[in-house]
Amino acid sequence: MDDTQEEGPSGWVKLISEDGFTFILPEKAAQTSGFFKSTLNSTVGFQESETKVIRCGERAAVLETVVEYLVFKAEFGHTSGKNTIPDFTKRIPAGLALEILMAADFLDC
Amino acid sequence: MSRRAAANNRVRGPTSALTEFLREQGISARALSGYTRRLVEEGEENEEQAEGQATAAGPSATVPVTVTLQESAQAGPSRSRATRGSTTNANGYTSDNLDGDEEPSPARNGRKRKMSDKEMAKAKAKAKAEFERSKKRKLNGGGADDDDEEEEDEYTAKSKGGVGVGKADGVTPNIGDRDECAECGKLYTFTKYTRPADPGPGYLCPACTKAAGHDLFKTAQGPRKRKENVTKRKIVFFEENDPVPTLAELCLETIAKHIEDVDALGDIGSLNMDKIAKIIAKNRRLNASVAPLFYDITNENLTLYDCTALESSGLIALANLNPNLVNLRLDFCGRVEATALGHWAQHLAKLKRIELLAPFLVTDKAWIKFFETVGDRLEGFLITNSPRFSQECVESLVKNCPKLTELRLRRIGKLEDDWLPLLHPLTQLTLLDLSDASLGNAPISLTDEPLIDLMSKVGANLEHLDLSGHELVTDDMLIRGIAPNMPKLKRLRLVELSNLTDEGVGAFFDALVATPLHWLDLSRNPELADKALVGLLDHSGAGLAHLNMNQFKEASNEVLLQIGEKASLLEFLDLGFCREVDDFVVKAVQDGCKGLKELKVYGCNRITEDCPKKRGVRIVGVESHPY
Repeated sequence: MDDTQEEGPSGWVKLISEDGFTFILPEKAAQTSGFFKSTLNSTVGFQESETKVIRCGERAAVLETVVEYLVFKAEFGHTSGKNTIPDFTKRIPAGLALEILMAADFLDC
Repeated sequence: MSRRAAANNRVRGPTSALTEFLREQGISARALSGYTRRLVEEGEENEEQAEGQATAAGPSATVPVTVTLQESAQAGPSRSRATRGSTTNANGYTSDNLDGDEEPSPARNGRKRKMSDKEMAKAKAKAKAEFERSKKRKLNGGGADDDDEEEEDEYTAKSKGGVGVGKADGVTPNIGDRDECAECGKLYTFTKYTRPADPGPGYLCPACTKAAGHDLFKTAQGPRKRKENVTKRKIVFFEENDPVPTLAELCLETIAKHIEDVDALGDIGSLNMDKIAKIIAKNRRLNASVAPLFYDITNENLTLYDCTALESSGLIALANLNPNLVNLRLDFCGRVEATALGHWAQHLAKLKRIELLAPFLVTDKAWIKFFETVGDRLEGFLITNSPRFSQECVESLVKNCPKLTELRLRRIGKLEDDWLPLLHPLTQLTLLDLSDASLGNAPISLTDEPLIDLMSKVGANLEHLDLSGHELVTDDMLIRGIAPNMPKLKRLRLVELSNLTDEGVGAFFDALVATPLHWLDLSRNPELADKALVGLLDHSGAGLAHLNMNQFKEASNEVLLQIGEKASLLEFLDLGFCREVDDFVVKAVQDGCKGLKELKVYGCNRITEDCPKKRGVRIVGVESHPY
């Protein structure tokens, strides 16, 4: 999508799932996960903070929901009125809930 | 009259609130008389009117105002003022008959004294009204009501007619200026009540205002100053709730929703279930609705890491839904009490090992009943933090559960030397933990001789021994108690034994009959140094996987450098607060211990930023690292 990686949270991040699917999301959204935030922190100097490509241990079906949540959180995270926020639990497939829970715990989001 | 005389004499008796107020405000009859004189010089109204007002002023302050206002409205104030010509002054609004209490007084000096009395009565009335009003205001907490608003506006508010609208044509007369009525052309005094002419430009005299159907004295919507005074609740601390819960919480919600239909949640194997149990405990969300996730009729092992939210009924359900449990471990099980424990004893027919963290509600009777019911099935009894566990409980435990192999009585506040002989029959013990008996401030410690006796009786099979936190224990106990009696010892924990010496521990390792230890924790013994370290490395170095030597303060650099060489199987090493540790020690450890996973170096301030780091090793606590 956006091969010329921009500096700062205005850029995009590519996540690669365990089974090879890629997800591209705004860096700002990725920063809502504690894990991605420290991975992308340039002062720590991980390779990922340069390339903006992160390989994740989750399979695509799980990572998809996670990415969806990250964007959702970046979108609604600062809303003040409670009723304007849609219910995200409807987006979590019951069969994947445990796996997503583990991913969420690892990614700290 | 009498009151004024009193004031003049400077003799003060008991005074009313009004008098007090007047005095505080510096209002005296003298000041009032001066004020009156000035008014007299300016005034041209006849004394009857003034007198009438003064009498009317009597008890209430509001009456004279209204009376005068009506009068003046009928009299046509603008005309009367117009005849006065040159006497118009800066406080024109006071003299255009709208404001009753500033009515001019008769000109003759002879009337002065009498007038001043009346004026004073009036001023008093006014002051009283004002006082009442301010009192009311305070009582109301500054709340604005309509009466107040009108009065408040009197001096502060700008009139809507005067300023707001007048701006349109650019010529806004000041209050007190003479202006020509836009309607009838007569001269009138511009006041804050003056309204703009409806088709504009210009302003209306009071007569025309009235004719136009406006309320003559209504100041239209002055700024509502009072509103600002409403004290807002100042919130100092508040928790900003994140409007979006974390994904983990949302998942837990989903799981709780589908808990009845476990198949819908999919199966991800038993290994991961333990991980999930930890995650849920970490989020502190394990409650009766989520717990069934870990229940199964075929379950033999159950570990719940945080049972705080599980109530008594949930704990009973636990036994009903897992009837085949052999191992049960519950952490933070503060709500376990007699009924739950009794239920488990009856319904968990295969239970062999129970491990509870903080079952502090369980009484000694309940423990005894539990031991009697469970009987010789019980092989492992491990409790931490149970201050009600008493000597009778130990007697009952030893009597009813002779097959016991694991015993942990950690942080049991009542532990004392007398208990130890009771444990002598437990010769099959492989695990014995009697650590940290002290609860709170009172130090509780076992002593050497009873411990040595116990070790000689039960030591033969012991693999794991923990005697931490007994400050009266000395080297003697190690050398005579542990060293000769425990051939199978694998794991030893002796934390915070303040009486241990460097030489003594060195000698203990020389005398220890056991094969190399696998797991050793000697932290927080600040006396230990080179001899102890050399001794433990020579004895156990070949077998150690876990070594905690936090606070070997005096251990020298040369000996520390040997760790990597002599203890090459280490996976975990804590060198915290060993002051002599430097980059070379860290390098030697990493070079020597191929399997090292974690190295803790808190408080080792000789380590620099450049300390070597091997791939796969986690070095924790380097002070000079920026993160």
